[in-house]
Amino acid sequence: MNKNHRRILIIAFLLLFIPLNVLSKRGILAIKGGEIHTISQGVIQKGTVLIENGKVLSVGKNISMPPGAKVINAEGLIVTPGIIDARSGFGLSISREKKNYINPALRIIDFFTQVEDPTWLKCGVTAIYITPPAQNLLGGFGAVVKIVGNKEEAVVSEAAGMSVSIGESALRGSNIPTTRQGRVGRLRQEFVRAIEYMELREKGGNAENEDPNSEAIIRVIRREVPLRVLANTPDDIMTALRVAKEFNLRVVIDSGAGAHRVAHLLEEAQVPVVVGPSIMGIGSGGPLEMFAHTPENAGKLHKAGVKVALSTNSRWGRSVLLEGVVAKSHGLPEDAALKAVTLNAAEILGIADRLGSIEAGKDADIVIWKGHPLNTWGETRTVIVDGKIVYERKK
Amino acid sequence: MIYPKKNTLKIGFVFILFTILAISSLSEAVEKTEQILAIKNAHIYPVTNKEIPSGVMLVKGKKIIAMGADVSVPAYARVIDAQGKHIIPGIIESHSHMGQKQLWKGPVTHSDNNELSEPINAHCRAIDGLVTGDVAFRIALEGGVTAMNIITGSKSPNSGQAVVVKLRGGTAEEMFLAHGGMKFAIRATERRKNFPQNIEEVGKLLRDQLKAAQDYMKAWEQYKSGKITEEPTRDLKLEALSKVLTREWFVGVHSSSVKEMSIPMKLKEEFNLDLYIIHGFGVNDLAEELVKLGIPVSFGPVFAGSSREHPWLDGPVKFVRAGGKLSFQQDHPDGHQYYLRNSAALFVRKGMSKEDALRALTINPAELLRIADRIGSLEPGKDADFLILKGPPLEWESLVEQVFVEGKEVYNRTTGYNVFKTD
Repeated sequence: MNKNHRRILIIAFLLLFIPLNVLSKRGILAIKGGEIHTISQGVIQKGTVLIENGKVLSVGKNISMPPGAKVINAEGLIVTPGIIDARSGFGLSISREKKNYINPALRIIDFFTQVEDPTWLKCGVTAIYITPPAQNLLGGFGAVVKIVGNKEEAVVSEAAGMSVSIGESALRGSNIPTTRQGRVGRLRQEFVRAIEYMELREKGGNAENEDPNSEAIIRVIRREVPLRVLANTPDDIMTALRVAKEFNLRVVIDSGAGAHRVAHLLEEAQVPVVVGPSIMGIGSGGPLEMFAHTPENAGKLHKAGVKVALSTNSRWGRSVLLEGVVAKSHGLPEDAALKAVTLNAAEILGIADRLGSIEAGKDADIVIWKGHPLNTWGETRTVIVDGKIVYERKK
Repeated sequence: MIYPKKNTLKIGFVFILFTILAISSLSEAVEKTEQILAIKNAHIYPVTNKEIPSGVMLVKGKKIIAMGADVSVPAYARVIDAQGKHIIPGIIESHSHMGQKQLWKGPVTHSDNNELSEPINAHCRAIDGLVTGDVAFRIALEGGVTAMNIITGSKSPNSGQAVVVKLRGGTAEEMFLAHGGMKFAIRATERRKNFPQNIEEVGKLLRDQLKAAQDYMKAWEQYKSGKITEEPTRDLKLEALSKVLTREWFVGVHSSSVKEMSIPMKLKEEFNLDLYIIHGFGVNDLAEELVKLGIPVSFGPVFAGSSREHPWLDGPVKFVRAGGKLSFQQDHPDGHQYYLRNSAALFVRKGMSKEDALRALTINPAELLRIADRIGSLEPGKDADFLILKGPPLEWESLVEQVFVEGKEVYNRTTGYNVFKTD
């Protein structure tokens, strides 16, 4: 190879880089001029969000526009992180496991392929917690999925919570045990069994008799995964706290219609509540406790210092923002309500490193709104998931 | 003890008489000043008339007596300054099971709304099973519902007679406003012993009953005109269905899908019934036909799986555009009565006018329940059933602050007073 050849090669090599560089610049998506609710760092008026490779590159007021970036003009519009429903009912439509009421090894994610209902996206909901059937004493692992893409792309967390049900919905579901004390007694027995199993494993014994149920519970005992306890009455909620304290578990209260009555105790124990749904009726033969939902629940909990997220328990894309508007109208401050359906939900679900706020490095799941999302008339304009525009409202 | 002399007694008697007279005349004066209630500086939505951005509404006793921008407030009237507030008629729920599925006595949901011993229950009356102490009435009032049609269930093809009540507290008789019509139910999927296996058979069963009622009426006519001498045996079911045939009563027909809704449409044509459709989720495909037949729809419950963007919200919008008479329902306890007002906004987001949405909460249900002479709009001469709202009526943020039924305050968000709160 002579010098000329080498030069040509070097030039060719350098030429290769130029279009690549331009391409990567073209890959930047910019949302410009909107009122950006970052959630974690306040509101930026007329700010800019830059998105690259599915992530937020930067967010701020004085960000220079990279040449070649695709620009979405958001002037006069509101920009928020994608909305998260902290307990949807989607999982209930894919698994109906009712035979075993002790089912901790069940993973709802194993039943999941993808969410095909576009309603969620149109509402600005980009991620949901999907929960195993609620009737079971130990229902298994709930997961967090995004609304777009197939299973591989959609899954954010395969085990975001261990479903436990001790309230009325549990009592209706199965025949054995029939009482609250009976169920909680059984729950303790399962935890004790798992702890003994774990200790035996650590000593190197019991290697050939693997017990998937105990393996599942160990993740809870080790505080990797929180218990998600479906409980509505103040007494059931206190029972959840009692059990969690005994075994030193992380616990989240689901539904929590009567939580406001023990708000200070929940604050003291640093236990978050996933409130809702408040808007639904109890349905034909639904749990009566649901009717105890007061629209003031979330506001009162927030005031007492309890971390609150909101939920629909809906299978068909009912917007969690409706719960947000109700909570806001009944005492939950607007910024707290927006946080409840974004960052608080992400924190409770253990995915706040990726979702819940508009921050550099986090997933670019972003919604552009005409009107405030927690206003009666607020409406999505553009919905972005992983940096891609997945929904645009036709005008 | 000293006994008073006769004179003292006389004086005492005169004194007492005088006192009684004085008190009674005084209380008469008090009554006069209390008789008129004036709501001033209010943004009033009469519903049947143009909005009044700032006006006065005068209430005397149970009735509205005057309303308008230029109405003056009498000096002796009790005045509520509603500056910044919005006034609408009390909301009317066209399909509820409140007080039938008892929610106040512990964990067992006692259900009295479905008589399941036989398929035809035309003789059953909802008022006989009504639990006025149901805590749900209290919550409904907080949501601004002042009247509702409490209907028997839909687990038999003909479950009985409904009752329209006002939410003013008291006994069933005190709450009673009007007969609520007959209830039919068409269900394609019902698998109960008293329900035929497919909807054609349900339709046939109801048709046969209506025909039997026609024969029954004929027999009585013949007896009364002397054509037959033997008095026919009284049958309360057929008697009740006769009132449906003569249109003395209207009929609410539970039907959801397009297929189910086809049955009441046929019954309407065949028997010329005054009927309306309950639920009507197939309205999107049948809007024009329903309007042509003059069948109103009580749509809902809206939150059962619904959302801001759910496609089924489009049906009612289309129906109203075609000229249909629509009302919203929550079907308590399937939907939550407190949020009936909220449901209207979802349709406005889909293109319904705000005026039409407000009508579907007030005058439309009043008309289909045949109580529009009493309630459903704010007009002089009508009952003073109205709400004071924090802001524009269809906005979720505009909470109901005060509720009045027949001129009396029955709910106040600030003080917490609620006429149904008995504990």
